[in-house]
Amino acid sequence: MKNNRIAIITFFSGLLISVVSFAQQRFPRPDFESDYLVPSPLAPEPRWASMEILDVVILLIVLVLTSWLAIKKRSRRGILYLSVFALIYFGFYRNGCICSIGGIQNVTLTLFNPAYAISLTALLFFVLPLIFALFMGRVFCASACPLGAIQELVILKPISIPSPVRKVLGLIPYLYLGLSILYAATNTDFIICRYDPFIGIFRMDASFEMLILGGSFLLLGMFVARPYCRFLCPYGVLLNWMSSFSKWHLSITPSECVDCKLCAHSCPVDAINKPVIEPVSNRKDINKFILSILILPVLVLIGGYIGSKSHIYLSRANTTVSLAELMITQPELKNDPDHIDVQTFLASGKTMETLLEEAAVIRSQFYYGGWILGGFLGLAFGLIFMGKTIYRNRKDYEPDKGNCVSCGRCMDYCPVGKPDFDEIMKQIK
Amino acid sequence: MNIQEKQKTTWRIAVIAGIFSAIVSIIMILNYWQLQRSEPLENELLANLVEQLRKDTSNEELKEDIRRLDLMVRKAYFTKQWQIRAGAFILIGGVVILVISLRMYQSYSDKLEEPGSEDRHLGRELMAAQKWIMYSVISIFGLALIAAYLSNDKLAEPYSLASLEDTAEDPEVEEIAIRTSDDAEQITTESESIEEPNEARPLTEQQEEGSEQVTGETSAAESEQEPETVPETAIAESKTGSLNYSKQFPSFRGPYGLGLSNHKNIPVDWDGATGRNILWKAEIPLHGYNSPAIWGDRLFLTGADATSQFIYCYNRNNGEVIWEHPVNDVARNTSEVPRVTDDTGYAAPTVATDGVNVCAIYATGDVVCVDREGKRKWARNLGMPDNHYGHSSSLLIYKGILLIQFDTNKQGKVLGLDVSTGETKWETPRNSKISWASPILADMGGRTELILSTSPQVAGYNPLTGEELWSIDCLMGEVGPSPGFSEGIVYATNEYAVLAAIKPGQQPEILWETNEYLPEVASPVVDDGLLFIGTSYGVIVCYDASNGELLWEFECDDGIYASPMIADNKVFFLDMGGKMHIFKKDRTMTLLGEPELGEGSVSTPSFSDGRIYIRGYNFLYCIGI
Repeated sequence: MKNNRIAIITFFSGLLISVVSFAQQRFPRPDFESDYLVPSPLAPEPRWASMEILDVVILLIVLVLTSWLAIKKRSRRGILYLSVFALIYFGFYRNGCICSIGGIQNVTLTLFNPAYAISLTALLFFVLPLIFALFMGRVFCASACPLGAIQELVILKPISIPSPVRKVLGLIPYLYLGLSILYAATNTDFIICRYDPFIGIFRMDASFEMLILGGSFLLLGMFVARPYCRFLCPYGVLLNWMSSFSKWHLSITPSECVDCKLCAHSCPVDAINKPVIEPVSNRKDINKFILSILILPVLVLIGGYIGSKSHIYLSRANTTVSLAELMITQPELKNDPDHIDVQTFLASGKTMETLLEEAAVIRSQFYYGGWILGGFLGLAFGLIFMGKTIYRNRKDYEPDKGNCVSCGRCMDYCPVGKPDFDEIMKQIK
Repeated sequence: MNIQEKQKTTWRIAVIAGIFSAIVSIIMILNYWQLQRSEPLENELLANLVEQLRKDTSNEELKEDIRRLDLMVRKAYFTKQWQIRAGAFILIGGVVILVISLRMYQSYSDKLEEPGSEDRHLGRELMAAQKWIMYSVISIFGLALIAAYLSNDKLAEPYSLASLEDTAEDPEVEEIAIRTSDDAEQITTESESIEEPNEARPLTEQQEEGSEQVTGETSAAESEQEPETVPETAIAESKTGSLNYSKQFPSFRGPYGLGLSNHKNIPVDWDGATGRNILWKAEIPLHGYNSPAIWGDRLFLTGADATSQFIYCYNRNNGEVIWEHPVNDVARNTSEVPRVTDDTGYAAPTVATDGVNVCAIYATGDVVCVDREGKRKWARNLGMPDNHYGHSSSLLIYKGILLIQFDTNKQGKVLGLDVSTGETKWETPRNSKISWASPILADMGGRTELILSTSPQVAGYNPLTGEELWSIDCLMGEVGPSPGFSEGIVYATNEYAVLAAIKPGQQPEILWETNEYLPEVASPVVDDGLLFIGTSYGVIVCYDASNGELLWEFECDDGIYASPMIADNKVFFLDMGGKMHIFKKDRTMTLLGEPELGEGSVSTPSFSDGRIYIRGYNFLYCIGI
């Protein structure tokens, strides 16, 4: 408990220092008596290449240290300190950018747009956490991700979400991932960055709406641990996949589980699998499993079909498509001098035919993208459903490798290996 | 303090922090609501006062009231914005204390879980999960399908082309046409000898007419009043680089960038202040130091600032803007805006045209090509030029290849792009330092060479392949002047370096050197054995091109940045104050005139059909008799 307090004090001291340093306005208020300084439109401003390398090195160090702390040292306190550091460095100092979560879009755009090339830094930020997840579990979520860290630190009285609700909400990240890839691939928008609820807090320049959104997530996070990580984060989907195969994932107990059940409710993100001894002989369950396998390609096709049908409204997020539709449905806007989009188009000298051709090309990209998006969602949902038809017997309390964020809380609850273990065992008995 | 007391204290702190945070939140919400309702531009009182002022324009007291109120409204708006931002910080502080105190309170009241209370009915849980996942997937897909069937494809709907493209009512377009026309008319009344300018017409009308001319559908009578049509032969000639090309003024310093113009009957007398021999003048919307390029009746130049880039096409007969083309959508690998100095700006390079294509480059590294109607053919970014003053090297087009000298602090290179597609036909790296000079083309006895000047070398290239043919080191410093060329000899110079006459070839040699008077920006011009130089400190010099002997010199009041031009057997030096010093092209000095533009200029004058076109700092002038 004392250690926890030290950790909290350290975090908030760091936070306060950051706040004080930002307490002066980032840009001077407009002074009408003298020259007004136009604020830079870039936030954060570009960094020197050497500093970008430093960011990668720091990420690597944090990931290595977290892996060591989670798997070898088994120190929840150390992981907490690292998350405080990550929050201050990657969050408040680096303004939440560069970010592995947003890296999904950079990678996608690189694959689909030959005119765009991802920087090595962005690529490493995207790849390194996945590689670590493949071997060590989601150590990135534990302490390197500033979005995870800020949510981790506000967890107050986490409640356990019923499993069915968790599973249903867990579908959202797949949808978000699919949409963010679709929009990045069609050069439409980087929606992960646009709707990042915490970026405005890190940069201390949140719009009112985003401040409310970020605040709401933090407020909710006091009682529902890490709501963004669990029910929205698209990168979490990829980490989940990788972590499911992790060989050296952290374990709750350092040796043999004594089935004391102390850790049963320790996980704030409900990522501890309980011991199960149930027979797999139920004919009905086997039928369900077979049915789910058979239904999988059907789901992919249905998803693809619905995705392709959705391309019209999905493509409206694209500025060229929306402008073309606007020009068709409201041609009178060409006489509205305040309508910047329309006036810019008219001033560009582009003809309506050209605009329509461009919009048609983009819409056709959305059509094929819709097939892929829908198919992907059908496959993902089908596999999730299939996973729920399978019973896995286990005799110990084990972390759910895919969903566990390696925060290490459960390790603190496990008495095995603790100096006063025998005494606790007596108490239990 | 025992545990209970600590618990009580932390609880009190949490309550106070919670109430404080709630109050701050409420204040912020109210403030935001007020802010949304107090847009300075939509202030009713202010609008009423402005309306009153329209009726009584001489009411000084009312003007002062409006200014005061406007200031007050804006101050209130920005103060509220600041309050919201400051409130956010205070709120974060409050929430931080709330969280700390609640966590501490909780830690004082933590109780151990009762082991063995967990439910082990996994089967039931999985059943429920299956059911809910199924319902959710059906809901998601169902909603998506409903949304898909409810959304109409508006792109497939018919649209009225006429209603969309009739921009005659566009107030801004109309304003341009009227302003130009007024200017032209005003000047006409002051000068009896000039021809009647064409009537001002809306931009789109001219575009339509222009496009009709290209298809050859207009009658001969109509075409007399229209901008000149580019004949097919001209297009072919521009690609082959034949002589008709040299009758135009297609690039910086005229054909091949040599500073020579074939046009005759160039006036030597005008006055910008009174409008004498000023046929028209037109305001240029965006700033730039580039010079006009002319093909037929169309005159092209560019303007740019930190946020916008434009190509402008004027009717060179009356100064009407035929079209303007924005270049703000070129994909770049950085969102950074280049830092340029005021004396270079964002649009220093002059465009190049071959009558079919008009190509421009900006300080951002954006290169764009449009057709003569202003329709985009292609655009690309060459990468932000690492140039501490701003990129200024102008373009040339030769046999369908756009030639770009791209010497920056980071690297030097010269490129040849396919003028039709923008694809790189060749690219030659140069072991050179940064340069602000422009390329020239030189006829070396049947073979045309591209000549570039930088520090330290002057080099010749094959303009069709980019192969370096020769190179010689003779310059130093920050090279601004472009090379001069005449009768097989290249003349390269730079301030604080030398003026060198170079005989190109496999073994290039320096024939002579001098360093008496050297230009900083203006390029040398050479013709009939005479070499002319204008210095930034205002001395005009004539050298014997064969041996570097100083023949005569002349001192003006202002420095010279615009490059001298030779036309009609005269040499034209425009100083920075806008005074043109006109000399007879001769071994002895004969000053023919010193007419004033009435406005400063650093742009090189252009010539066409007995007229001079000069870009001042703000206006474009057409001078003629």
